[in-house]
Amino acid sequence: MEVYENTLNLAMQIQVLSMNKYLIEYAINSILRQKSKNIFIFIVFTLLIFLLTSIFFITNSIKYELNSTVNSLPQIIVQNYKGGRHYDIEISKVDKILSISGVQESVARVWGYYYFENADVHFTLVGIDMFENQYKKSLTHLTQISSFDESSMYLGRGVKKLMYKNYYKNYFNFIKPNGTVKKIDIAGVFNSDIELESNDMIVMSKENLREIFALKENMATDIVVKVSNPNEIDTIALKIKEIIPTARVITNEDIKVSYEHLFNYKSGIFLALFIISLFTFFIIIYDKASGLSSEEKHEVGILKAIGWRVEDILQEKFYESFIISFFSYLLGVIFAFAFVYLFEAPLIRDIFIGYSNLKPSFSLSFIMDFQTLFLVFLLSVPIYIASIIIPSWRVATLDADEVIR
Amino acid sequence: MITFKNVTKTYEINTNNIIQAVENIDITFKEGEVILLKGASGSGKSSILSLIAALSKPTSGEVIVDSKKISKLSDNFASIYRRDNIGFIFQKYNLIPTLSVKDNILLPLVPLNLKADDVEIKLNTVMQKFSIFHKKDIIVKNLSGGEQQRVAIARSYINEPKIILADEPTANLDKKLSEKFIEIMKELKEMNKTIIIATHDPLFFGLEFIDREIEMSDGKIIV
Amino acid sequence: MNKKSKYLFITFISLSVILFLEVIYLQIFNTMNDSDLVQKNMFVKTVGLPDLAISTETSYIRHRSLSDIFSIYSVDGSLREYSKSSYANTSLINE
Repeated sequence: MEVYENTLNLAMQIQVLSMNKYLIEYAINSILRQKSKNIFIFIVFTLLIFLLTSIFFITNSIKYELNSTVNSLPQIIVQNYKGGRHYDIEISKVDKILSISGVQESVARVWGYYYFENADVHFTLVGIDMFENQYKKSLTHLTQISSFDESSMYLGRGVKKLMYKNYYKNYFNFIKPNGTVKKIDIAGVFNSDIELESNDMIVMSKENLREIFALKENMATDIVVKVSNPNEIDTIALKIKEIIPTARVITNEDIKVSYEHLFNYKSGIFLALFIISLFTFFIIIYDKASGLSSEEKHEVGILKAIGWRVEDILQEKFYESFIISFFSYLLGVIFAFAFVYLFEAPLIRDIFIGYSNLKPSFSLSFIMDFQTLFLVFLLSVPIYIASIIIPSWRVATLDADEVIR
Repeated sequence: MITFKNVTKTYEINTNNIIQAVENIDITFKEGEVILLKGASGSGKSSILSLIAALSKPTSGEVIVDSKKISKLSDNFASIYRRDNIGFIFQKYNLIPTLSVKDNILLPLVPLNLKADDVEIKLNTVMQKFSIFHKKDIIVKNLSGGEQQRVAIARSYINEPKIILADEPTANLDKKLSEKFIEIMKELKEMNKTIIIATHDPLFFGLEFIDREIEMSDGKIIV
Repeated sequence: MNKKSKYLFITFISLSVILFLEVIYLQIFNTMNDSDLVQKNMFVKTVGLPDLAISTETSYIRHRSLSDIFSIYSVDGSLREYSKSSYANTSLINE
């Protein structure tokens, strides 16, 4: 008798694992019988998944964009601080830094922000040594113009658009600190492929920039340092701090770390997003997990009375919950892909762009991140399934007689 | 084939309130017999049916069906036993009101995952037999009492059980429909089904096709 | 009998196909190609400044990797959360 029962048990378990199309049909009927409730849950779930996934996609793409160029940044940046504020640095510090062994190159930089009052925007102005060949080549390549002009400037697309809107077509008048005007011609516009990096930038000669900022010849905005052995960056950074105590030294590693923390789950948007998502999830799940309605209980009792086993009931409930949650997930993800990468995330992008009048196009590079998709799946589908199965299991293990009377 | 050995069933409502549904029942029902359990409400008729269907377990004693001690079956095996052997017609039918006639009748077969053709044949045969085929796609809650009962009978029959149990089957029916029900039971007897009907409807008393009438009162068998 | 299961299956396949096609399309047309990568790196090397020009409201947002708590207070401390994008782009380098 026992052997017979054990064999039968095993055979049943194997049968349970195979898909029962009648159970699936029953599950679909069950979903359709409570159409409005299930449609509501489906819509809420899809929206939630859509929102969560969209934000993940945007932040992943932004991080990807940043990380793809991080190694082209200077190895060490040296800023000068006085009274905790950033000030210009003396060019004489360049030689001091060069004297440190291991330092290959030390260059003073001139850059800063120019406030264009008419449009209420800040441009980022960067001065470079225009006559240097490498810069010549780069600028011609990046702006697709045939001739190179050392006295002119090269604009990001956003800057060009804004200047054009304010009637500056071929040149721009910068207002110097003494109130006089510095006119600089526009030589070219950076390609749209690098819009995310260059949208608000103006690149011009160091000399022109010094004039606009009234920066003395012996001063610079900061100093960039190149080392012969990348493994020594931290050591050299420490040495720089020793010889220039007021310096704030930022290494390439620091910037990488800063990028990592960009969309930290502990703050800002992610915290708010997680709280809202979890709150909504838990409301739905609490409602489900707090027990079946008397109608649903009665139904489970009837099924048991006519010969359904606990496994059959749970399998049916699994199909029911899986259908709703998985289809929500699929649809949410499909919408998120289109929303972010095809339509440039309208409304949501404003959270990232902010109030600035210098808005770039939000055309982000697509990267396939399976981790994100898997995480969102885990946060939605299994939890919903569990919230349906657990109360059903509780009822299904009761005496059928109790439930139906 | 169905034997009750000194079976007692008590329900505990709370610590002070214990109801003795059946007490020291010793009885045997033979295969193919039609039994009438008669008695007032609360006499224990429904509990006997529950025990035979393994919907509940006896507090003491044993219920044996075809040499199997069904009172000792685990929950899963009790379900399988019901599926393979029992057709239960409940007092309130216990149909799923929002499902169609067809889907309700099909329910006992769903977990079996049979071939679609076999299922279709069984279903159509049963629906025609109980004259409910023309209403197969209608939602059950839109049917009359008599039609719902026919659906309940069809559902209890589709898995071809050996034992048919009916609990107060005519409680919600008029005389005409009750007589119709009796006709159906006669047909089932001809198929050698063991039928146990629990009722206090006098329409059933003294009918020829009933092999035995058992009177119950306060959980005990009187006659 | 299994009409509904069929429809479900068809819907599932359709959605999967749409997803697959979407991903393929994005992979072909929206992925950063080599020439884009070269240009971006060339630009960043020329200019030498980190961070993207997505949010340009204030300097401490524009170049958050180079800024610090004081650059916020150089304007006004109470303006820390004034700009919308500081909410999204928080976690400054010195925190």
